[in-house]
Amino acid sequence: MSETKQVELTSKDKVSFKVDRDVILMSGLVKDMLEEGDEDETPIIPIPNVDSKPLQKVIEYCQYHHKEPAQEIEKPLKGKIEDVICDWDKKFLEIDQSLLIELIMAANYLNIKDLLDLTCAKVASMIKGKSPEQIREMFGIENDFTPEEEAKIREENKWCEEA
Amino acid sequence: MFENLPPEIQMEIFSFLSLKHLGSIQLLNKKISQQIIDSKQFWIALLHNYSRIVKPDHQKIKNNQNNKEEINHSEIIETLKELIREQCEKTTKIRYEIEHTKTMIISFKCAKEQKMNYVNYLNKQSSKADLKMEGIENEEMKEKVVSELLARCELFEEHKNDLEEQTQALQIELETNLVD
Repeated sequence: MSETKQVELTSKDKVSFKVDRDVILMSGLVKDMLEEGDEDETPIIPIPNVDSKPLQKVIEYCQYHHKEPAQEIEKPLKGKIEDVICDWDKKFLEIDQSLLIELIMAANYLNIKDLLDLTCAKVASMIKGKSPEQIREMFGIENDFTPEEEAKIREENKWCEEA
Repeated sequence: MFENLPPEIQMEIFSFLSLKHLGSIQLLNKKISQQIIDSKQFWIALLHNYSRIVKPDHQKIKNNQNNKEEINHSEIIETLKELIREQCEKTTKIRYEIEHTKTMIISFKCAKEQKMNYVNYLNKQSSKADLKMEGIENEEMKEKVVSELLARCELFEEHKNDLEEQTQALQIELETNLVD
């Protein structure tokens, strides 16, 4: 019986993960790197932009979705994200906000479109229906508008409230 | 945190939101607001999302803007406003159809109720008629039984008279024989 080919990924904080080659091929970045290398070896691929915690989540996602392709998330989101994703993804997204942001960065860096869509849609779902004040508070964004500037933007965007 | 995300990812996140959130996200802070204004990716996505819902030939609208090098905000906003108008008209039409269907359902329900009431009334009338018929049938039966009994009584009476006459005749004969 032939052994499954593996790839070793090393995170920013020097943690190594051995992953099946077929699984990690979901990453466009890793795929490109593997195409350049020797197929017979177990390649070690450094992932210098991603810490072990989000990298582990990325691997978890790829292990599940390389056999179960994710469904496209329609834009604009209808209802909450939980209404349009599978149960496995719902459980996968039960993480704190900072890990979610790190996961978005990792998906973007590793070029995993489905994971990037899923995580971006999750953040959009968190924003949905909230006031600017609530969104600022949720993401720690500082408001640098004067009340006059705020009033002007509100006035300019009145037309899209009908949508 | 959110602000650490590259602008193109922030725009990707915003592209999952509907048009009515545009005001809210532009009010987050000056940097994000400017990124939204400058992002061709965001406006194309917004236009695409809406034209896909409202207009079947949406690809044309998307390509029109995609082919331009610079973002023409006023043109995009005008197109979006036009799409909103069309959507509002569609919504009004659908609302009217829903109201019309509701009225139809209500009148159908009323008609059905009236019909049911009439059926119940007819059922009651029919039950009453049945009872009456039963009464009449009972009366006829009673009369039959009485006349039968009367006829038998008459027969019995005749029989009794015959027997009495025979008894008397026998007694006379017996007395005559004894005297002899």
